[in-house]
Amino acid sequence: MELTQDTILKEEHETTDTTVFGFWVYILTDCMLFAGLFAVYAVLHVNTFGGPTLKEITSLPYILSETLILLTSSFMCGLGMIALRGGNKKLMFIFFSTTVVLGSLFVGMEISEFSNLVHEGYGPQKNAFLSSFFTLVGTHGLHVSVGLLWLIVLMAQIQRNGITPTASRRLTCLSLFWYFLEIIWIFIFTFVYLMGFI
Amino acid sequence: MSIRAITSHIIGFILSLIITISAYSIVKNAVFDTTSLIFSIVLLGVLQAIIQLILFLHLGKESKPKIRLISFLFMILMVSIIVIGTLWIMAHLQYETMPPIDVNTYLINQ
Repeated sequence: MELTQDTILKEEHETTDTTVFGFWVYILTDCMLFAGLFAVYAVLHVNTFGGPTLKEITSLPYILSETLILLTSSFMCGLGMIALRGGNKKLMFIFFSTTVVLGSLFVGMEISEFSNLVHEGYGPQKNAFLSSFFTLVGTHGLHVSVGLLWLIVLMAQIQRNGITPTASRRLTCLSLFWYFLEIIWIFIFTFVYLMGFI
Repeated sequence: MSIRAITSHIIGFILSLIITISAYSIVKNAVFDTTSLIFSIVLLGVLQAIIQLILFLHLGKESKPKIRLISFLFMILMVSIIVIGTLWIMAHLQYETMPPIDVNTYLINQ
């Protein structure tokens, strides 16, 4: 389908671009992946093999900060997309750079949390609860990291070639990806961390 | 830049912020008893997801045919079957795979 000015300027839910819809379907399949991981965690989180529960090895304020950081990065991504549609390249760069910074902060905090757990001896091989925990949260973190890499590359492309219809389509797909990751994190925050602290 | 788009994003962000902090406070201060606590944070989580789906992802706001919405609902159906099915089966495995002799002991203990 030919990319025109219309493709750039329309809201993402009104675009007739089939690539964006195809990416939406991919995101739905990614949700299936996470559903499986959530189901496994739901079954295995009680199997601590005499070890500590989530409450004893995590700090909820730390996780709250991570959550707020990711939420803000999602908001910045949205503002960046609005700037893109308005053709404002400079503003778009500012917003997406903020998204990268906040996203990197999130990943850094998560890596730090994992590394602390491993150093204390509570690595993914210790018991079933930790295996499922590391897999679920780690997969999400991996998705975020890849998304960050993608965003950085897209920014470099736009810096070089300006806002082309192709770049706009790619950014639309990336923003869908970023919102979806935020929604998955809501469920991780609710069902893994908050449930663990009840 | 569309004012409508900007406002929907800001509203979505602020609502999500409020819900996240509420859920955190409810758990941190143990405002309700366990069952109500679980119910309330699940409700808040689902609510926040719906808010983000509508206000950030504009789910369901497309023109007909609403193919995005339909495919999304299908995914929800599949996920429900997988998750509920898994929990149901795993919860009953202990009983289903018990040798007959132990079934008596199990039933007596019930």
